[in-house]
Amino acid sequence: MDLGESDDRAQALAVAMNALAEAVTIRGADNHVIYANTAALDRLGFATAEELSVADPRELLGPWNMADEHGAPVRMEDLPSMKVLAGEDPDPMLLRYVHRDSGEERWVVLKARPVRDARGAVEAAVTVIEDVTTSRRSTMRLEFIARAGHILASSLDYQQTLRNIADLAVPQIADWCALDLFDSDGERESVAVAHSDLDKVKLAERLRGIEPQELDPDQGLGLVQRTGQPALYNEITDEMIERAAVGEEQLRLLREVGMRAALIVPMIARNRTIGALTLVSAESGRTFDRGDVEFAEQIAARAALAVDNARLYRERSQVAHTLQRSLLPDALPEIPNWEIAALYRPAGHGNEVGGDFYDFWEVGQDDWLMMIGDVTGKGVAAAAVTSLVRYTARTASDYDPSPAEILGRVDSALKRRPVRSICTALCIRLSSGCGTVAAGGHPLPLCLGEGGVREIGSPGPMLGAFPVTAWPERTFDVRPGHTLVAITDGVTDVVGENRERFGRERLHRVLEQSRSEAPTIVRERLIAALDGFQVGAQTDDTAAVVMRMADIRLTEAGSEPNDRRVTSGKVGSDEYDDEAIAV
Amino acid sequence: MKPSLFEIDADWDGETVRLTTRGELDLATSPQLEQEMRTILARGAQRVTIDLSGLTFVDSSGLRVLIVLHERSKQDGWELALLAPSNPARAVFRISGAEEHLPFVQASSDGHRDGSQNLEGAGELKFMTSADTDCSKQEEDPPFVEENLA
Repeated sequence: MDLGESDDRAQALAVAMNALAEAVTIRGADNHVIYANTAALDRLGFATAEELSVADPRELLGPWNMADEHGAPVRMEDLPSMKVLAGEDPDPMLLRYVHRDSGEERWVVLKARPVRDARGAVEAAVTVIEDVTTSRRSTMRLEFIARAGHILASSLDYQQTLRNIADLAVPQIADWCALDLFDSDGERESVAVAHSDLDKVKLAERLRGIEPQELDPDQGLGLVQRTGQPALYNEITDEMIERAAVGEEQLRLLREVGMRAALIVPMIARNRTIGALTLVSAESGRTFDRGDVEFAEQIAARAALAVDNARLYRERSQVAHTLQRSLLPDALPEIPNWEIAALYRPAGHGNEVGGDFYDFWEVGQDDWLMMIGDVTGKGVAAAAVTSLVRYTARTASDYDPSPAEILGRVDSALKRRPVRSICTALCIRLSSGCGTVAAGGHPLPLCLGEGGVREIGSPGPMLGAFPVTAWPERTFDVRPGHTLVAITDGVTDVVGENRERFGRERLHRVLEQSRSEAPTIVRERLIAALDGFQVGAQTDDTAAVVMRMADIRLTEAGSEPNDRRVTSGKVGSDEYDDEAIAV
Repeated sequence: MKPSLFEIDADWDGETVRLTTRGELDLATSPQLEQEMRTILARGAQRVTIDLSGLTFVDSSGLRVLIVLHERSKQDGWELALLAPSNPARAVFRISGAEEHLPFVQASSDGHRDGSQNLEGAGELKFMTSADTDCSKQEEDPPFVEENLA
């Protein structure tokens, strides 16, 4: 191949080649570049092809550092032109160049094809180098945003989410990515630091460990926290590091990081700077441009929104838990001669207040009242109604502790509300040897005894719903060893295969099989039966109260037969999750 | 794909609408019934029959919607009639006392339940009476006895 041929065609070809935006080089069999068009000479920093042809092939990159798309260094023999000369047929190669002095980053695709002599032997390799920086960056950013979108939407554990975002950012977006959050007092919490090299992450952790808690309000993170504006440092010098470092150890570690450039953008949610995203360029040597700042701001804004949502959700869950606990007794009471167990399972993910409730309180000398109910609806509105029902019932019992009378009072209180509020409730008064029950639209209680399982009481209308003023009340005998079970419809409405409901029959069967067991065992069997039946998520609140009258024959052998007290547990614990709360 | 748990169809005849419901009417689906009712009332319905006979399940949220609709019909001067669901969805109406207090009507004795039913054609309809809440006999009743509403 004779490129010195000076006929018109060759001349025209040379003009055309020099007009190309793509750089074209031809590498001879001796690995030296024997031709470069104008674009290639510009890229490589040579004035003429002659200068280039005598240069050491290893120094051709001039001021550019070259890495593959994953940031790994590229060896000479990996280049497509070198592979072509070695007789291979290489794929196009994507490379990242970073200018050693300016930190400018370029992305190029190298494609090489062989030039063969008459015998078919490879005598040169033609390489076309296309600059794809713009499209590469926009593709990378779009991909990043898409993947970050998934990550940000995937979990309400925002700390893990932010760690995943930081991991995603390295090494393509920057060598380092860190995320910090500021709490309401402005205290900084370092949430994530990522680098593709684990040793480097450890270095960062050591660095964070010795950093002063107080941020400098005039530089770096402190500045961004104070102003809510991005801060870009493209020329980080050793003097700057010396100035910023507090103490020898920090200076040493900061030098080890080898920061070239840093970009810090605020994470803003609801007009408050809740944190910052930091991108650091070190070994890649690149700097950040205006496009990088805009991109980082976009990521930070999304991350801020995710954090804010997660925090609001958490707050809401805490409010729901607090409210829920205020609607249930702190602990089951100790009622002489009665053993009690209760079950409470709110539906939802622990962030909603359920409408089911139960309560026990003492009336008169030895009598106790038990109330269980289900307020229609969920959330804070239902909680307000629940609260009204509970306290109205307690107050009403001061005047007349009759279950029917109590339901009547609750019904009137509900009807006085401006918004239609309805509720089902069951009220049982336990006296010595007998009980009185009234139900307002609520499943009737069951009595487990020698004869099996029987329903007691009479159904009465739902509370707050209809123009009625009286509720039927029934008295029943309770004998030692008998167990009373009161539930809310969440128990019988549990959904199983083919949308079948748990139903009264299954409930009866479970209770029948455990009718001589202690209340806690009855409760456990019920939970097991419900869990075994249920398909999918729990859709309704579930509550149940199990009460067994102590067997006097047992207590007669004891030393204090008249003071037999059966101890019960406390409602849940401080950690109150959406699992069953066994009392 | 998850099958729809609740379906509702409106059948217009002048100012009379018959809503046919199927599936489960509960906390999750009752807003659909509320929405449909808002729509048909906004379009000028004067007489609404809600056929609940296709329901397989009704919970207290579904019941609440019906109670509120009944109240509103009295306040705003339109007519509401309900066709009772069959078992087991009927249980909630029995237990809650709603059978007695909601405007249940019954299809004519031949079981004729098509769109020709009209609330003004009182001859075809008979308001339900319920013996369910007769408390005196309740304690002797074994569970699961379905009282005959007809």
